[in-house]
Amino acid sequence: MPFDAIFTGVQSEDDQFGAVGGILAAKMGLPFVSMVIGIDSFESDHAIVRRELEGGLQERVKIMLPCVMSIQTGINEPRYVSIMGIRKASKVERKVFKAADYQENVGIKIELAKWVYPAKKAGATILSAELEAPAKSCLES
Amino acid sequence: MSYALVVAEVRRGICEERNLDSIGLCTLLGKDAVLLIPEGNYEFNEQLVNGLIKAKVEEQAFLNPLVMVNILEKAMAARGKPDMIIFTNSASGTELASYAAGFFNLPIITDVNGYDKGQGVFYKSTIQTDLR
Repeated sequence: MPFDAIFTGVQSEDDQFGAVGGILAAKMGLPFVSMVIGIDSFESDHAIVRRELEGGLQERVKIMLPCVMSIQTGINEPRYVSIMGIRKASKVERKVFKAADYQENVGIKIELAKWVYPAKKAGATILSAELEAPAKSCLES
Repeated sequence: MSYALVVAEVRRGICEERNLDSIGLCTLLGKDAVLLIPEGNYEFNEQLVNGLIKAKVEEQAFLNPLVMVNILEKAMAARGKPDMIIFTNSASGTELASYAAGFFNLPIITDVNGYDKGQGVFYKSTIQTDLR
């Protein structure tokens, strides 16, 4: 089925790998833009989107279609679903794909070794507002 | 000699400070760091790395995942395959890293914040309320 775009999330809430969109795009040979926080225009052959960068910076990107976009949280306000909509959705055919069907000949290249909390470090010292004494103690330590 | 290819993050003419984290990881790993950076007047202390590869592309193209995989192919053809490719832990770094991992069929770990040489494991952030 022809399509214009594939949307993925930016990252999962727990593992936060943030890798699905990029890997998917590369495997399908499609252009990819991540951290999308707004779609300014969606034309027949391209889209203009805004992506979030560090420090409050945003980047406006033109991307050719079809493409893969990973969508950042908060891009859209979820709507309440109407009763009619729920009924309609319940009748839609759901295709279930088993992960095991796609794991043949895929070697384990990455493995979770353990979960740990970061080692505790020594507590911080609050220095007084006077400049000279703390500066001296920092130089001495 | 095994080496790690460090892809520099540059933006608006500046070599981002977070590149130092990537180079620091190479030190933890005990690997030579070879920095891949676009040509330009980027202020950077070259003594911090063991090698430098300059890509003849504009900054914007350098940050494009489709262009980046071509640059990486050329860099690896010229220098040999690295043990790993390190990107910055940022929006652009993750974008480039995930695309490169898919393109070259390589395993990927994002958000790396440590390495235990004794056990040979990387640490990354995760959110779990109950660790067992």
